[in-house]
Amino acid sequence: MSYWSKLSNNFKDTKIYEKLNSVNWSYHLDKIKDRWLYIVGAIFIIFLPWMADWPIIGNTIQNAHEIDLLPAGDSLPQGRGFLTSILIKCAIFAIFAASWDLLSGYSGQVSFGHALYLGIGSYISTFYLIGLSLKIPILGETQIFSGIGTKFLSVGSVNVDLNALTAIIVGALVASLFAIIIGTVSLRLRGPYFALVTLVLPLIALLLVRGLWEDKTLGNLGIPVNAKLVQASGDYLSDKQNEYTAVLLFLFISLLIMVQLARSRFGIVLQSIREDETAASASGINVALYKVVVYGISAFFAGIAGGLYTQSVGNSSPSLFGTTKSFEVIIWSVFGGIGSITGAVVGTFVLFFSMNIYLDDAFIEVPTLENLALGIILLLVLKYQPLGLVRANKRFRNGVLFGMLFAIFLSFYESGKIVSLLSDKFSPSKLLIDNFGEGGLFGYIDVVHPNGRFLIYLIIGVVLGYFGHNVIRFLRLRFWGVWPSIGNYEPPK
Amino acid sequence: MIFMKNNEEFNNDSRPRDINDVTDPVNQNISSDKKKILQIQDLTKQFGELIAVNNVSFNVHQGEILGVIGPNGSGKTTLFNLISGVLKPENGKIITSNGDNIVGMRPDKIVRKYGIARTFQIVRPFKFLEAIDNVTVPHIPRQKISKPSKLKAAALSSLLEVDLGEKKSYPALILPHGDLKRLDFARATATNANILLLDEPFSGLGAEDAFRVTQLIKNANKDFGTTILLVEHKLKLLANLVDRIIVLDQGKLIAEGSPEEISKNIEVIVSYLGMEASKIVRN
Repeated sequence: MSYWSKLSNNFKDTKIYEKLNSVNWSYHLDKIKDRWLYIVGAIFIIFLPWMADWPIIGNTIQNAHEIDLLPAGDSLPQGRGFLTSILIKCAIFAIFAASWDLLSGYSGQVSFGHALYLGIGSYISTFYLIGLSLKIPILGETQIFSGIGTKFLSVGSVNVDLNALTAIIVGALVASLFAIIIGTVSLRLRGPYFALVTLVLPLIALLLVRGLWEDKTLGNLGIPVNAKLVQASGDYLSDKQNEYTAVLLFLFISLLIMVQLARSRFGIVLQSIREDETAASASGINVALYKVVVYGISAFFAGIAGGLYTQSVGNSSPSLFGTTKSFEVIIWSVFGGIGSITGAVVGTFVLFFSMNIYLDDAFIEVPTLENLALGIILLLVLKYQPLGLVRANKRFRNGVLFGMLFAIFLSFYESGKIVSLLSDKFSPSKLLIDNFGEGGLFGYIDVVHPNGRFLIYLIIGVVLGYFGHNVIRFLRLRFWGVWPSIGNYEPPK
Repeated sequence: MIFMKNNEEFNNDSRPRDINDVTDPVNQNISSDKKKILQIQDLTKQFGELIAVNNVSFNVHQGEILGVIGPNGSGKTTLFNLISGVLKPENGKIITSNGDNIVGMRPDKIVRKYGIARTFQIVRPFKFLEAIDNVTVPHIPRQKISKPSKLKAAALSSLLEVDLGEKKSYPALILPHGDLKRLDFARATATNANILLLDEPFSGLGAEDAFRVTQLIKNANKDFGTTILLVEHKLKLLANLVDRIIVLDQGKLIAEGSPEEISKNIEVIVSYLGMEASKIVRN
């Protein structure tokens, strides 16, 4: 045994070593050890459409009926369809957010214009389906895509359109090619300069699509697309559910690829580039090549999201190139946890779902208030948990989980589905409506609507979950003989 | 037959096998006739009006430890940046043992093809990566398609060389400065370098950590025959370690020789202490 290993064995005995070993570093790095949470999350995503008659989600659907968002008919299947259509968008944008995170979270090249590749994927897949001919200066009128019909393959009881699938992949490949060309030129720039270039490019694309190429792209109207990945049968609910299954397959496959890339040696190299480019190149890493490759891969998945979105919505419109999409994707990823693929997915599902299904009803009359609420949530996350939701510290995460469970329990309790014995004696909904029914709580939160009450329960639950620990500790120390303010043990007399 | 041939080459290798070979004054004359592993010719670098490195020429011989000293702002770090390809010189050549001029090449190509690796004066770890991933990065270009277990084993062995095996799963941002210096050293050696450029390896280290780093440098030189260039301010630390010293002052090379010669050189004393103080020393 050498001198140095003896010395380090001595070090092993010290308290510092034990303390460091007891810390769970997985919360600081992108290593996820709480697999059960992810498994529960995946199951939740898959089975959410079947929860349409549950209190919180069901209330929203009721509301959607009232404001004629849904066609009249049997409410429950229609509601499920509506819920599923929003979940489809969630899943598509989750792919988009994950692709942004692979580029900006892992390799540190912050892109403020990732919507460019969403738009390119969308338009190219459409042109591949309907055909495109361009006037090229030397060659004259040239047909680039000849346009294709449908080619169905029956899987079980549904028909999958293989040509639509090809169109999505062609769109993604072209987006990837564009990214490689753009990246070769612009990735020489470092930090904010690269971000500025990416900010400008989708704006140029927007001008071209709206103005210069209006005869091909139909300007602001967008190109209608009839093709769908899964053939429509006419039944609203089953169509949506088949589509959701297809989109979820895309989501899980692309997540699998991206997570594997991020965990492999490729991901380690990307992270080293993010931390220090000079040191990475001093370690023999060809920084420029890796950056261009990751830009291409990221654009490929963004293109897939674009193609899927087009076929889901039924047209490819210039709004896909807009700055809104570029910034939304950043907000989702940062909220979920920058530098973790799963974080981007969690952030997208939580924020997009709550924006579209839930927060609309929780506030009264002010239409942009939910945007403001999201802004405040984002600010709080950046200030107190900058690593995002999935890597929040354990106490904060448990606080949020407790708050969710608390709010869900109270919502079920209100609806009388569980513990109906006590509902006459103690009714939080009655308490809230009697006191704050007119004008709302703080003037904004609509307590008459169940979603507004849910928000209040959630806030109370999170505060209880976060500080309840302290209260219990205080009480324990106060009544079991230890004086909390001094911290010394005083045995009871 | 091939194995035999390789073996012969290995036995006839002119690298010093013992640290005493190098420090022996008799062998030192021989070492000047040894293979020149790096020739630096008329190297000049300007930042605006400031000439950071001014017409510097010297040779580096195979298997030696060469000290580079000089007061602050004399261009030592700029010289290293020029050799490792971070900066491009205005003028001059850097010629390797193959006869290739590496001026203007990408830093990563210089590391991979010519085996010239470097450390940094201020440590630059990959902060959010674990210690083991920090040393995995330089192994990756040589092991692009090997098994993950093989890559991990290689990284672990280079981490164990610098005695950081126990802290392999700690992120670099919590490691103390002494460990980071050794981690930086491990990252440079993990590139399988022939020439190591160590930029102030002792800066900010206590006596114990400095001793550890000294042992590492000696071992790298003795066991693997690595040629080492070393920037340092303190002549005391260098005296027992290096074979030869070059002195830079305001970008110019003012002296070259063994540590003893340098410590008696008037020009060096003047550049460090100023004219007035050097008169006192002389008397």
